[in-house]
Amino acid sequence: MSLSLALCFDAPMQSWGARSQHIHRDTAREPTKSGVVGVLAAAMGVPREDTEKITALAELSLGVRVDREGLVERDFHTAQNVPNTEGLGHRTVISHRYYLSDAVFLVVLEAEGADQEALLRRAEAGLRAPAWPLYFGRKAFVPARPLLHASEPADRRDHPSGWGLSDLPLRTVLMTHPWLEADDSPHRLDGRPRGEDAPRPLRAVIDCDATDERAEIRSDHPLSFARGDRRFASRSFKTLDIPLTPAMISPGDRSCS
Amino acid sequence: MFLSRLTVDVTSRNFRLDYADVHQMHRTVMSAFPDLDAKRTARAHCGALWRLDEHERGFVLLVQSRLEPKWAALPAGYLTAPPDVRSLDPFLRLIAPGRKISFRLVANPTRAIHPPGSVPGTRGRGRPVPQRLPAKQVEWLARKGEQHGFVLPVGRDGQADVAPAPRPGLRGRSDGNTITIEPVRFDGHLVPTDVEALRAAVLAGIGRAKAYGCGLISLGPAREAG
Repeated sequence: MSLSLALCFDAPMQSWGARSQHIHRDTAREPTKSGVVGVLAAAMGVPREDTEKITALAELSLGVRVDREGLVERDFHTAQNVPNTEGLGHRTVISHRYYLSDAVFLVVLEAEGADQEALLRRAEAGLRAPAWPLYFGRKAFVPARPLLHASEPADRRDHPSGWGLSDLPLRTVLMTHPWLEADDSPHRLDGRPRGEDAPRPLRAVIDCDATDERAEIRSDHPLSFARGDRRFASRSFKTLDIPLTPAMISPGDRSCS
Repeated sequence: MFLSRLTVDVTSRNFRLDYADVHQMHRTVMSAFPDLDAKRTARAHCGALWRLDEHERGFVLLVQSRLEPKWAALPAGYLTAPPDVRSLDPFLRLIAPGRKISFRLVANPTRAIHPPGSVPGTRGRGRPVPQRLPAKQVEWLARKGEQHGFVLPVGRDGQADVAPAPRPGLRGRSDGNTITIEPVRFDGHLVPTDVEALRAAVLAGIGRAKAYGCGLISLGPAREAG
């Protein structure tokens, strides 16, 4: 028996720094584990110094399906009175801050064992009534739609969002969850008559074993978010192609229009 | 030589997928050309170079090629305007000895890292890593100029008349390998010293990652301070 939590990350702007250093604040093309853990922690009201709870959240397995690829944009940003590492030499600094515009992700977390399942249920409850505001990478980048369905998964007609909790393994959720692209979105139609050649698959990145031959490494497994003591371990993930099936495009009893 | 300007529809799902995977973008560009020569790569055979330029509210895909492209092969809905294909010759005619020309180039400046203890030049070419410092990037371009017959004029401030700007990193997958490129956009002026060498460089592109949106030099009349 597995328990997984499917969330919708949709916002006009999102930023998921993975290797940012100094004046170069980059973004990954999909949410990072530290970013997702941060969102859950904010929802549950876990303070950044509570390293124990943060590491417990980071142990959940993560899979992200890219339902709409974002465009990378760069902000021209200046910060004044920035001191050097010795607290001296205040000067104005220009930084490059990247963000993703117009991206939509299906973020799925999977729990293993009773402890993790209880944690995931608490996270879900937190997301329904967040303790602190939720945002995607920067405080101004607020979600565009609820992360979770308000009602039963079967009825996504009015407001498609993430399924929320389900008794399915992570991979099954990634393969079957309805596409989060809105029915009338221009991204969806693509000028291709329906039924003509199969749509191109969705990219997904999923936690995997470090020994997997397709494993990539990213240093975004949070160990501590404490002020002055932010630490990350490396995480291995791999990229999969998820076929975009008609069942995902037109779920339930919807007939093709 | 042909130069195509393609105004991309940013809401096209096919474009978004290509944008997220530079190898797919390469394949989309190459779909306009026939597969011919087995010995050289198809890209080199067609003389195809491309660059994705930000443009008002979206992107313009510039493609330079020796063969005439057939853009009807693009997926439906990929473009918002019909392809604009013209001859490259007027731009090549700008190249005259000593004449200042403005240019734009998105390139992949790299430096080689040699294993510790090895004598550079004795064990292959070293592992290429992105050159991230702006001053070193200009140095890289000046070195390319020595190879390809141009120099960077000096502006009033005594610095080379070129501005390097970082571009978002490109990622892609090809046969299970991950491609990562950190391109840099150079805008500025150049002065030809060897017309034939510069013409050849414009036709063939300069630097690494020519299949992945790097190396295309666009030329224009010099911008004079007014």
